[in-house]
Amino acid sequence: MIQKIKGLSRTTYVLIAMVFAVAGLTPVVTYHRASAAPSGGQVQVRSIKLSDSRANQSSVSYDVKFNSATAFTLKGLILDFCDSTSTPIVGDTTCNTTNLGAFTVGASPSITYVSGLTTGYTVTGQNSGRTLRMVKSSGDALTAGQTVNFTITGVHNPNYTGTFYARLITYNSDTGDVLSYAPGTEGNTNAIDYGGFALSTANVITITAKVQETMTFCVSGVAPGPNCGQTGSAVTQPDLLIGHGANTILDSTAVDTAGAFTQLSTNANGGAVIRMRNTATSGGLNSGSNFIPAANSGSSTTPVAFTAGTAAFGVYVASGTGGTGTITADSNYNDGTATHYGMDTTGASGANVLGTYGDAIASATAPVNNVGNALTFAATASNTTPAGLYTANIILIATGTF
Amino acid sequence: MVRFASKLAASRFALLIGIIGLIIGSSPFAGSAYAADPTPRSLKMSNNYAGTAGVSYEAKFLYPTNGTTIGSVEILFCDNTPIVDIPCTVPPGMDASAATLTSQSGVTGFTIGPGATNQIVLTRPPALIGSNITGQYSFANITNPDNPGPMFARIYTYASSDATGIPTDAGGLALYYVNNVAINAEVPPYLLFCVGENITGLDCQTATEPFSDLGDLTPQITSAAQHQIIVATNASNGYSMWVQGTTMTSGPNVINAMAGGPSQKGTSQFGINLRANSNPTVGQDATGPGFAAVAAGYNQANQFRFNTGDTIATASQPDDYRKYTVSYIVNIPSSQASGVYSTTLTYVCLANF
Repeated sequence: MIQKIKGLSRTTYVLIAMVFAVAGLTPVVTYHRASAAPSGGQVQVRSIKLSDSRANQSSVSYDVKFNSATAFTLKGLILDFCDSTSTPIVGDTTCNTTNLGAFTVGASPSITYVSGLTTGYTVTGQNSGRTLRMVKSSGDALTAGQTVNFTITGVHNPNYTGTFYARLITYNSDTGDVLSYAPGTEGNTNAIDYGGFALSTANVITITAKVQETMTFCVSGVAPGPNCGQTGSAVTQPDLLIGHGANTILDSTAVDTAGAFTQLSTNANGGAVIRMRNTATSGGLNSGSNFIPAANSGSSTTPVAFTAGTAAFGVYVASGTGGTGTITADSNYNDGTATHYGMDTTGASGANVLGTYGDAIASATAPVNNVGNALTFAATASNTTPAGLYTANIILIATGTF
Repeated sequence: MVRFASKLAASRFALLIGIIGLIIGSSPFAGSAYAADPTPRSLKMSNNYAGTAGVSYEAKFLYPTNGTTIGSVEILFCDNTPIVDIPCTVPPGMDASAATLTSQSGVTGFTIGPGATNQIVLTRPPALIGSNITGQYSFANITNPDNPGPMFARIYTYASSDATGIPTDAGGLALYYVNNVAINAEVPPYLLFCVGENITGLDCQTATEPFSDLGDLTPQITSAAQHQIIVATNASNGYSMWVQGTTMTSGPNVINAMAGGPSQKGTSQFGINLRANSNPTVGQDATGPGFAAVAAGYNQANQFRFNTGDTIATASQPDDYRKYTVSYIVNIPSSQASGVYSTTLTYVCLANF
């Protein structure tokens, strides 16, 4: 035997090799074709794109795209979905739904035609929604290599996380094979092209990021740079001396002013309130038992213009500037005229500069970033204002509502 | 073999449960144990100056979980973060251990429980709360942290009375401690004092030369003149103004200074007052916003007096502008020696600071 084999000619070897080659290919062809026998070829550049790959998601769109292998008039189309225990091979009789729980294209799937196919197809869900069937008697003429693209909307993904498959068969008739389709029984009369797809559902990536509550608030003698002077002008201690002349004195001849600045940044959803307390018992400026009275702007009164010689102390709060967001000055401290000053000492329920928590001078209703408010403190003395050093500690407090 | 398989299965189950428990109990999933953030929430303070003692705080928040049992509320001050499931660092200097509960509304019945330097615990017997209730709690006697800058707070609610167990709700807050605005204004002591024959309004700049010519003196006519003085001061104890000088003389000849009384023609009289007179018609009453008073003896119309060193006007407190009109009258008898009679009067005003 060996000798006989050894004696075989080269031609014989080639023939034997071809026999083995066919023997090896035959199962493959048979596997693909089985009893079904699409007469065309395998569609190329095929894909099914999911709008959401999460398992058990509803209202998912499946974007189906392939290039026709054959020139023909497409009148029927089957897109059959099988679970991970099956295969995408067209002709395979096994198309399980064990791991395809909850999957359905719907009883009357909705199709968006993108290219290749036009409207008019009767679209149905077969096999409890596992199989998409499209038929149209007039069909759509395709050329070989022409791209067919349509989107199935309203698909419910399998409730199984992992791979599942789809099988595509195109038909040149809207009757016959397409209507009798079953896995392994794709038809051998009207079935033209075919192709398999692998799809997968997957876990979503849950990204958690914690943004903590923040607030940056500063009070300065000069307008601070961003982030309370981290860049630009630094915050300075706001020790203000109100007066005029070489000795910076306060008298009845002038209304003197001095400025301070606040800057607020907070991510408080409900915004923030800047409140002011005046530690001087009069609410104005105190010197022992003597005082320069506050220009009360609470209890239905408003900021007023100061007259030199009529002792008074107050502040004008400008609306917020710079940064992002809005800080609005309270009407007790800003009536629209920058030379009108107020100091609410009588607001109800302790909501005044003498109250425990002070009086609101400005507020934001949403997060703000690097918004500054200029405060102009003004004072004048009268002829009868006793001599002395008049002082007040103004406490400015920002409270966020988170 | 069967027994071994059973044990193995049981062990695997226990292991699985353990792993799940570890996952659930670890961050960041721990946060999900809380029902909700108490939103909106805020924490007011009466003073945001670092290191200040005796500060009041007011916590206000909406209980987000309706119909739940609330037995305690915890307010925790942290130096590092407001995130409720991250360990809290105590702010240096912060001391809420002596905090007192001064008021409460919304969900009430709380008392201050055992806390810590950075912790306030409100406790009460656990009880159900209603829907959409905003709790508001005021505290006193808290010492602010030592350092200016950001600080954080957290609000937790519990079903238990002692702030133990898994919080029902939790949320963070951000606070900020800053510098105060110190305002100083120096009002210097001052005394405004001017004299003129005439002064327009209350403006010393308009004062004219304080010289009065009484003209020719005759027994039949009362000679009269006037000049004006303005005084104002912020001296705490007001001022005193007096007159110094002599009666009118001409060499050794003298017109008598009046001790007080009406003008009488034909007699030797020299006197002054600070009123509006009708006999003779001269002078004005004091005017201006000030309240200083003319001294007795010089404050009666048609009554005149002159005594050097007499106080003619006083104020006992800071006094605004006061304009005085000083009237002079001179009468002479027919026996009055001829000559040029004159006098120089000096008005002195002393502010009493």
